[in-house]
Amino acid sequence: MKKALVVVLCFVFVSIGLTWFWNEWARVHYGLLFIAVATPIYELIGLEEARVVALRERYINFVPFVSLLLVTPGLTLRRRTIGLALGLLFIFVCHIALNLTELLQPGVSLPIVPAIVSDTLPFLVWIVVAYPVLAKFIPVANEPEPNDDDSLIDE
Amino acid sequence: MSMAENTLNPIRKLWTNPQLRYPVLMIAYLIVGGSLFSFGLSEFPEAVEELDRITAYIVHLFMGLFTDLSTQRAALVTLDGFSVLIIIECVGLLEMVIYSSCVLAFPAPLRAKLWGIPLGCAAIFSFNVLRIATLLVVGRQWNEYFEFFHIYFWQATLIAMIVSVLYGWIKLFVHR
Repeated sequence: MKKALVVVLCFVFVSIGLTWFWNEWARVHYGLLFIAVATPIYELIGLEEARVVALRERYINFVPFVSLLLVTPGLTLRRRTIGLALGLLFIFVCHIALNLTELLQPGVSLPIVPAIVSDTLPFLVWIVVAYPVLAKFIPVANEPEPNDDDSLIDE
Repeated sequence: MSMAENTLNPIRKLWTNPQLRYPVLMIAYLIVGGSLFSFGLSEFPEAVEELDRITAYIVHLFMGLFTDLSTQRAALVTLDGFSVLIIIECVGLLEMVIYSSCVLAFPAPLRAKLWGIPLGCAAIFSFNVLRIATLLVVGRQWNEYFEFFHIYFWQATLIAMIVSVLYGWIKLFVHR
């Protein structure tokens, strides 16, 4: 119980710091990076009419993912680092994909279903990356004991 | 072994791995739950307005435990001159859809899920009332920080709420 409380407090501190960093600096720069990367990809696949603004307000879902991963106890440094890099990349790719809903429903907000998927992304990616620690909570995964090796997907 | 079996075996192997099966199942439930939610929003706008109003009323009641300076009119809650308008994204339904998908996808007995969904949704609603009340206080006392905390309480606490309630459910109902 005490350990869980410490983890929650760490999450609060880390996520407040990251939200501040996001607001002050990262949001604008990420927006610029997103435009630079997504536009040519959309052009390449013939969807150049997709504007790159639709997901702007939900880009912040990087923050809970990074916070969760940083405060999860028991992960090896290697898994945490690789998981962080691959997780951020995966969320970025998902942003590019989810942004295409602009073609179906133009506007600054995402339609409901993609919005829910977007909000859940940090949690989903965290489950995959932090699986060796989380497996003890999943009944069918209790046997055999998971390995915390280099591979993010455990056999 | 046939070619079809050769192709299916790696897929079957991946599917039996809870590390992948759980997120995939969750996405499937999210799509179903999100679609139903979206349908509800478009087909029952009066019910949505009523839900906003009820949430505003409960926040007002909660604030009333600590101060007489809180008032409520329709979906608008005011604390000593500072007002917040409750919209459908503020009532916690999105969080409940996500949490319910987490529970449904989780490998647990049906009985645990049947307890977990309503109790967890009630816990999420309570957390959500606390979240709105905190925002009201921040807006009233430290207005310049309101926007920051509005963003903070959106995505970061959404995940924190879901993970906390899910953890509680697993501890209380799955690993008894």
